[in-house]
Amino acid sequence: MVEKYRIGLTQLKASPSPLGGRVRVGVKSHASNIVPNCLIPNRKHLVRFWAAVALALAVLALAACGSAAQPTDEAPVATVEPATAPAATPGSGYGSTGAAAPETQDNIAPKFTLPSAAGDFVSLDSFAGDRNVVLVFYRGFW
Amino acid sequence: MNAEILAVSMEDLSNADYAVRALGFPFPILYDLDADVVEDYGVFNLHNNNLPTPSTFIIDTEGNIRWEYIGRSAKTDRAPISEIVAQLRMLN
Repeated sequence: MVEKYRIGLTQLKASPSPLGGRVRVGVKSHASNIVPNCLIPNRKHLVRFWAAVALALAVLALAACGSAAQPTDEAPVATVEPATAPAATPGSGYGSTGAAAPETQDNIAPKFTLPSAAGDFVSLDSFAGDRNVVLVFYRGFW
Repeated sequence: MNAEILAVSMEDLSNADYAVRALGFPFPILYDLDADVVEDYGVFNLHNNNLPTPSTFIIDTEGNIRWEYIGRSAKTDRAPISEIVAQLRMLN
């Protein structure tokens, strides 16, 4: 039984057409009366296989709907910047990307003062009320 | 465009200073040797290499993070420049 199951698996992987695979399994076994036995577990396996595929597709579709729904949900909130949400989605970076809750108070940038290559110190506070800051972390020496 | 670029690495001064002077970046290069700021922004060691994860944050004049991009790979994935510019335009 286990062996037949394995045959079914390799057959599925090897041949794009399950029907073609079945014929090969039958030929390899060299016993025409076993073929029906082979076919029954294969059918079951195929049903399971396609059920799994269908399930996976359903999950994918749900996920896609979820992620597609998010920007549209956010868009009305950010009324000032309707282009924010669609513009953000192509990035979809490691953790997250995009307009992080534009007008809320939850996204206060952590303050810092760091030494610079010029020999002075630069603090985030020094740009407050004056300039936007593009803060880029990079990998460094490699 | 009203924006200041700040580049932060955990690079040792002796390593980076030469490159910084040679290339003459028109923006400050900052050093966070202890990864304090890198950790504050949640981008330290996301790829298990004990290095900052390449990432970009846009902070508005009120000190709010308005946009962020966290690199999906340790080396190559960066925020698209066009996207950064577009985001800045929306702030101004």
